[in-house]
Formats: sequence, structure tokens, C-alpha cells
Amino acid sequence: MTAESDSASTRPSVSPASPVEVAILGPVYARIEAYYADKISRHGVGPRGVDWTCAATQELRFVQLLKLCDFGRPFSLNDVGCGYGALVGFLARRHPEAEIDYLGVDLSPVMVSRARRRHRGVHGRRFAVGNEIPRLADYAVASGVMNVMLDHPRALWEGFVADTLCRMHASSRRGFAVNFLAQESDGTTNAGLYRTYPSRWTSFCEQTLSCSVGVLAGYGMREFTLLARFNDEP
Amino acid sequence: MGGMVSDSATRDVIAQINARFEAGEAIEEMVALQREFKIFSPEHSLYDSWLLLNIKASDPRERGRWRRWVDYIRTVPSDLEGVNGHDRLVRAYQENLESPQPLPMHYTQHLAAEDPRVLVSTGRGPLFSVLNHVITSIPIRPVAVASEPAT
Repeated sequence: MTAESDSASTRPSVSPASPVEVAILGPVYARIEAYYADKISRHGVGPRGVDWTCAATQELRFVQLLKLCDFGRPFSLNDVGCGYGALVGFLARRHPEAEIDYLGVDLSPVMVSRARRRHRGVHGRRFAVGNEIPRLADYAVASGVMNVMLDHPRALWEGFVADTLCRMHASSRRGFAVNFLAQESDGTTNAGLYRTYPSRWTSFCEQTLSCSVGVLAGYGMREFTLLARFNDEP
Repeated sequence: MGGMVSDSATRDVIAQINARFEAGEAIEEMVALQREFKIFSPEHSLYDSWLLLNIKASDPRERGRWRRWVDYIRTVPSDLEGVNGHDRLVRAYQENLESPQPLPMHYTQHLAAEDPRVLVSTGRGPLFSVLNHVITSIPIRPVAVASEPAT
């Protein structure tokens, strides 16, 4: 494995400071953790356990997110909100030759426990509990992390989104990718779900995080994926 | 179905299938999934393809019966000479989802006494829909008492 990873530092040119005080987001993290712990206890390990319709749609999202990565050389990858580690299985099937140093991070101890059990003994696959991303890696991806707003006020949820993007940025060397539910064209909303327009977060990534951002849409779902690459990518 | 799978499980699974292939976002999603993963192809059993879409009997006790029913339709003829019912359904899904203008799909049933074959046609959709659909119809043999739900 030659991909660089660093368990102690964050991206040196970017402050890991969060735009929202940890004290404010603490209860948000706690609610999210409780929500997904309940999901997996009711539905077990599988797409429904992390609120996806099915394995196929879950993996179609992975396809989009991984367009960020250069599979032509080894790399390290942080999977933020990894759940039970579905991405690990997908990587093994879709990119069996790729040399990937994977770290899955999730707020839910129950999820991480299931992930560790599911992928026990698989080389280059590790998991950690918490909202901190504990190492610098080449890339970070997050699938579905921003979608379930629960009953949090939208402004507070957008603070959570911004904070998560900052953490992904600070812990990535080359770029990060994240997906969002798209705003319905007629403006309708779904209770508890966060929907938005690409411009809301492309501008944040470009202006606040100084990234070059690509938007993937039209892949069969009412959502979009942002691919953020660093202008000073090594 | 009927003698093989309980009425409640049959209704449950058919509702799931029709929801995932209905007009609008659902069929667009299916087209994208087929393009990326070739979910419906002669290499995969219909049961496995549906399972990948999380289409299965909600009651775990019914799933074995559902699987046996999918195997059973391999023994049922279809409206294509030399193609069994299972393979006819797979072909209908694949051809429609990969066509330049895919249609929503509707899954229904007819009496085997009237036509013992699996039938695939194009026609008006269910209920209030005026859109053309690909309609797949499965022959059923009503029995005096449908299978009790598995225990």
C-alpha cells in the first residue's frame, strides 16, 4: 500500500474549525445516532437498515461518489457515515483490483459494531465511531448523510451540513464527494428530509473551501452528487 | 400463486413490483439501475433481480414459498414459442428498460383456464392511468382455499 494516510493530522492548509459550535451540534449528532441505531435494530444489516430503498439504489449512489477517485493508483478513503460498511462490499465487487486503504466512520456505535463484524479480517478495512474523522486520507465520501433532517430547524441542519463538509475537506488530501436530495421542481417538501439545490453547496465548496466542484445529476434519482476537488491537489 | 403463495403475500409482492415500475420517477430509476447494473438479464434469476431491488414478501415466512413460485414459472409456457414464463418476464423487463423509450410496467394476472401462458403486451395502464404500459400477466389457478399464510 503506497497511498498516503495520516492518523494524526488534518489537511495542513485548511483550518479544521467548524462553522457551528460543537455545543450546538452535539444534540444533532445524538439524534442522528439514535435514529440510525433504531433503524438497524428494526431492519438489520441491509439497505433498509440505513434508510435506502434497496441495494441497487444504494450502489448506484456509490458509483457516482466514486467518480471522484483515481482508481489507476492506490489511494486512501474515508467513508463518512459508513453505516454497516456497505461500500466495502461494493468496492470488493466493483473494483477488486484497486488498492484502497479504507476507513469507515459513523456516529452510531451499533452501526460500527455491525460493520466490524461484517468485514472482520478484511485487509485495509477499518472503522471508527464518532463525528470526528480521525485521519487525513486522499478522498472522503458521504452517502445519504445530509438527507434525514428529522425535525431539526433547516438553519441548524445546514449548520450540520456545513460542518460535515468542512470536516471532509479538512481530512482529505485530494477531494471529497457527497450526495443530496434535490429540491422538487414544484417546491414540495417531505417532512424530515433535507432537499436542496446544487448551487447552495457548490458555492459553499468553491468560496469557503476553495474547491473545484462538479455536479452529477440525471442518474435516475431525484438527487445530485457533488465532486469537490482541491485546487492545490498534489 | 394461489395454491403456492398466500393471498396476502401475493398482494404484498405485486404491490411492491408495481410501485417500483410505475410511471415517473420509479421507472426512470429502474432504467438507470438497469443501465448501470444489468439487473435483468438471462444471467440472473428473476428472484435474485427482485431481491436486489428489495422486492420480497414482507413476511419472512413467505419468502421460501415466493422463491419456489418463481422457480415454478420456469415450467409455465409463455406467449413466445419455446420461451418459458420466467425467461419471458426477464426478457420483458430487460427489453423495456433498455429500449430507447421505456414504458412504465404493470404486473397483473389472468386465469390459467383462459390462457395458461405468461403474457406480455402493451396497453393502457391500471386504474386511472392513460399512459401506455408494458403489461406482464401471470396465469393463476384459483383453488378452493388459497394457501394459508406460512407459520
